Formats: sequence, structure tokens, C-alpha cells
Amino acid sequence: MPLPPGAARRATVPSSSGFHHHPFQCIYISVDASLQALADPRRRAIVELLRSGEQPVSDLVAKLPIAQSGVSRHLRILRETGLVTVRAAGQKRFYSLRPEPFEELSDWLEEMRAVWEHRLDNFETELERRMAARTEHE
Amino acid sequence: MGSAQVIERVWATDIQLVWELWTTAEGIASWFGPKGFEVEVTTCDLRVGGAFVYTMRAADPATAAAMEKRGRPASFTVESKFTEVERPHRVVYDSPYGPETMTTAAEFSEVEGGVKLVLTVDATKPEMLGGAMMGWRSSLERLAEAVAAAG
Repeated sequence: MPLPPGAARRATVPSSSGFHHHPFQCIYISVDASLQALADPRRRAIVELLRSGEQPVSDLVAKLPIAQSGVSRHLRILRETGLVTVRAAGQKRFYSLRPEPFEELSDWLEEMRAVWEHRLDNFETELERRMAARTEHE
Repeated sequence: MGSAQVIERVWATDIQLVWELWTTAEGIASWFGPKGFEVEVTTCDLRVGGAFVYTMRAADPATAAAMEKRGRPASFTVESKFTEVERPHRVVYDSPYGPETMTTAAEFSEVEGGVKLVLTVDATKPEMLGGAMMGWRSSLERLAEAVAAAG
């Protein structure tokens, strides 16, 4: 179900202990929130800039073609989703990436693939069994 | 598209057998369960809008215990729906996935040496992402590298 625009703003800080009720063995609830937050190209641009390390808001504003109010809003969404963290030093606020959600996303993508690779191995075994059975009948 | 995973395989067989295994209740039950699980397909109404319902059960005590440890039931039912059926070349179904939908598309083609499968599993609705997730995977890989380097 697509969520309304701005729904990510209401996303709660992810809990790494929450699991979905789903065939995939280990899916974090927070993956949903992370994907949703990263679905916005402006937020992805911010994340890409933070890859090189912690940056003050003023640097991000200078590097992005987005108004300061927009940058602030997207930073707030990223922080609420747990993708970035903020540190205040004097008048400045420095933002940096939190590795945990990115590790979770990476694990999740890998896991989804692993489940299917395993299934397809089973599929192949069953296919071979049926082909052999068919040959016997002929 | 989105955070899609694409897997390809080629099998030395005929397309009818692959289609049967992939789209009949009995066929699916013979291979679909992840390791340690058995699958019972209760509904497999192979037409657009038709239901595809299956129950997965932990097949041994060790798997049941592992599920319990994670706070999850040892048995659960997934209610999916077929969204595209073009026999014997393409079948797509949507499954509930938390608040979202996971789309699984299997495409079969006859190639030299047998039948080729192209499987696409996508856990994010394209309309939700508006195509904005293009290049997402490589971006994520670079992020993971950057995080590892920083860590």
C-alpha cells in the first residue's frame, strides 16, 4: 500500500529487534522505513554527500540545489528514520551517517536473494527427479 | 526498479515441465519451502486476480525452536494474488510484505540448451518510489564500502 507523501516524517526510530511476519527468515521492520526515507532523491543526495564523513548543515546547503528549509526538513526525516545522527558543536550542527540501517539494508537484500537461490536449487532437484521419472515411464 | 533482485537460471528441460512446477499447487509445494520448512499450497487459482495462498511450517523441531527464539510463529500463511499470467512464459504475483507489497515475477523463455528463467523479486512499489531508486544497489554497495572504511 503506497503511503501518502510525507508519511516518512512520521516514521519512528527503528528497532533492530522487530521482525516481520514473513517467509523471509529475518526481515527488519526498519528496512521499510529506511527504503521509504531513501526513496526521495533529495534525501539520497544528502546521504551521498555524507558518505565522505560528517558535515555541518551549512556545507550541505552549499552543495545541494535545495533551499535551506528543504535541507533541514530532509535532515529531520533522515534523523527520525535513524539513517543519520547529529552532533552540536557551538552554533553548528554536524550530521553523519549511522552505519546500522545501511548494514540492515545490505543484509536484507542479501537474505532475499539467498532464500531464492536456495529455492531454485530445490526447484532444480525436483525438475531432475521428474525428468528422470518421465524417462523411466517412456 | 526499486530494490529488485534479479536471478537468472537455465535448465536443460522443456518449458511445460517448468511451468507446471512453478504454477500448480502440487508442483510449488515440492520446492518452494526454504530450508527447514514444508509448504502446503491451499489455493493456486492461476488467473489474473486469482489467489495464491500457502502455509509454511517448520519441518523439524530445530527450525521451530529457531523461529520461536526470534519471536515468530513456527507456522504462517501467506495470501498472495496473481497479477499476470501468460502461460507458459510469465507469471507474476503480489504478496503482502509488512505495510507494503512484494512483487515476484518469473519469466520463462526457450533458449539453446533448455529453458531460461529470469526471476525478479521487488519489495517496493514502483509508484511509491516513482522510479527514484534507480542505481540504488550500486549506491548502497558504495555506501557499505564507505561505512566499512570509516568503521
